[in-house]
Amino acid sequence: MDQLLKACLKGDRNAQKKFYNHFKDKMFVVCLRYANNRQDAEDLLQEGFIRVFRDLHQYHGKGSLEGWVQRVIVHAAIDYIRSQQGWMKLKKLDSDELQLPAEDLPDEGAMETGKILIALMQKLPPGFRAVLNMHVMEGFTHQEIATRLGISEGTSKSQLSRARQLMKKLFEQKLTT
Amino acid sequence: MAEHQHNDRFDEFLKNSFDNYSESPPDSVWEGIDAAFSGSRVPLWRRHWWLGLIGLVLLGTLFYQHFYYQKKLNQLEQKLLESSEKAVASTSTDSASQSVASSADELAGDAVQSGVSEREFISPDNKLGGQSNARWYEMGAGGMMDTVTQRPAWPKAKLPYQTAALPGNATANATTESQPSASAIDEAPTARPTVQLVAIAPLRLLLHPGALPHVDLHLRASQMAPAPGNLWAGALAGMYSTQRKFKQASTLGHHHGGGFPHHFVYQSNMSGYSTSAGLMLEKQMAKEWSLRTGLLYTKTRFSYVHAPTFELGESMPGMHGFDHDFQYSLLTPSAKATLTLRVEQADTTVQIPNDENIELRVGADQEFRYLSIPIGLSWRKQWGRFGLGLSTDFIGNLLLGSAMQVSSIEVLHPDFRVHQQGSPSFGKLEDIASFNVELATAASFSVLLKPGLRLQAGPAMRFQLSDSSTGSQNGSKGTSVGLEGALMCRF
Repeated sequence: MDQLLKACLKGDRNAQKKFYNHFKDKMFVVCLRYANNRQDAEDLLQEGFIRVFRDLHQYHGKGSLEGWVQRVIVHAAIDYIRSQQGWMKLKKLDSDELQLPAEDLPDEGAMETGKILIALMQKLPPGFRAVLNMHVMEGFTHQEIATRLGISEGTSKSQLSRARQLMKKLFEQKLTT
Repeated sequence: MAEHQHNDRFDEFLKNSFDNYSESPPDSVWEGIDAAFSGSRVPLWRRHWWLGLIGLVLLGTLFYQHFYYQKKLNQLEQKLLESSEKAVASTSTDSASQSVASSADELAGDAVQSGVSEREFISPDNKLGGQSNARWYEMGAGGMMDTVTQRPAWPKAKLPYQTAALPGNATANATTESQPSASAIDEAPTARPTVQLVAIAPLRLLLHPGALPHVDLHLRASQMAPAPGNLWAGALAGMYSTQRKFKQASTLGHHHGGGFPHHFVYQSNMSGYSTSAGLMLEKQMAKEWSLRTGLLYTKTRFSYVHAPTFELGESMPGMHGFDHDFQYSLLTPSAKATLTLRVEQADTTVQIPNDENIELRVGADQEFRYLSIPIGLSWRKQWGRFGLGLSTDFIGNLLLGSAMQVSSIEVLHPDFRVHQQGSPSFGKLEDIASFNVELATAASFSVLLKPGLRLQAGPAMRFQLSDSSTGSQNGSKGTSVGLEGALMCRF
């Protein structure tokens, strides 16, 4: 991996492709978690890897490379969330909105839980999705979430609570159907 | 409590589900990344434009030299032609000239017959590679030349003055006043032509590299023109005040791990000083213009204080009790240092709130060492012993090494003290460019201590043209202002 990293730093396109191939599947899931849909996730992955190659010199070998790449992708995802108009609007979701259309959900028999959860996650409002991902998946504290999203800690906590509730509800609905 | 546990289980379920899931993106994503980098690739000419500029300066100098000497040669040719016409006119009106030996070859024959040693000088009309029409002789007893007791005799012959058409564009010229008329030969037999100029047009020499060796100029050193071709060499030393823009980053985390570490990034102008010393060579190409190069050792040193501010609180797990151990990583362009710091609460009776700000101040010295190669032009005007010079150079700096030293650590809070535990560990970074280019300009006042020994000193400025960091976002460029001095010897 060291050789690959050095070659990437020199701008070797073949090495960069190998590097991308090594991490793309895991990072795509990260992007799917934050994005509204698959198309946005692809755009996000592209933007994230452009940042990874641009800032690769800033990785100094401390910590895992995968962790560093994921952090860069997550930062790109946070920027993506914040770039959406009205992402912070906390609308009251009624029961119809919580009801997932049948075509949106993958065929349970063939799909893994991860895929189902991604489909559910993409149904959450962007603000809920961001806070849930940042806290549960990335381990950010509420203070850090507040700083990075430009919201108060209280808002972060309440968004997380509501996001959890919504996810649980959606998942239960899925299980009962 | 039950809800809290339920939440934790749900979070764990989400985390495990996503961690165990992977999905491949379509190929179009990589194509987009590839296209983004292909579009932003810096073209070759933009990365190496300075090489082209150096080439242009050198080519310009070459052309200037060529046309300067071509013009000079044309003037000389014209002058010689006029002199020749005058000499012919004078000869035709003076019958006495008929008694003078008719050709230099005859004279040569006489000289050889008389057993006098001879030295041959080039004749103004001696066409190299062709038949010699005339030669000049300088005679001395026993083959030894004694310029005091035995003045070289000017041949008592009418010499047709022409510019010698020499390969390599070399020519010799005789002054008009030294050309003897027939009557003058009798009156002043010792007068002889002095060679004023031997000029080589550089462009012709470049285009016909084999031409010069065929020129067989038997000219005495004293008869050679003093310029061009003078080489000055000597020692140069300079000291500069330097400013350079750099991005530096630091990370503060709890010594025992956990939590999200704090990242601090600074883009700052660092001030420091540079010293440069080494050898310089100046090749005088024209009376006042020289090409110069050299080999210098340059050391640049910056001092900088990092001042990260952080808050006690939930983002810093382990911030309970009165002693807190932190690991502080400092990333500067020259190296990376990891410090283990212990922050102690001075007064343990005081309750410090969690949102209290603590500011650390970590002083660091950075050092860069370069091998510098300047290439440039200089202009110098002499007024007697004193002179004024201006120079401009491109300086290529090859990185020899870099280093960092942590000079001070303190905490700016009345309730805390900070100590460093153990010695800092330093790591090498690879984001410092191994090569950068500077443009240097300098003015110097000089004094000739004795002929061929020049002492010069004056102000100098250096502008960094290329980044000294490979970091795409770093943009580390700088300027230096200082004084330079040199002792140059002529060879």
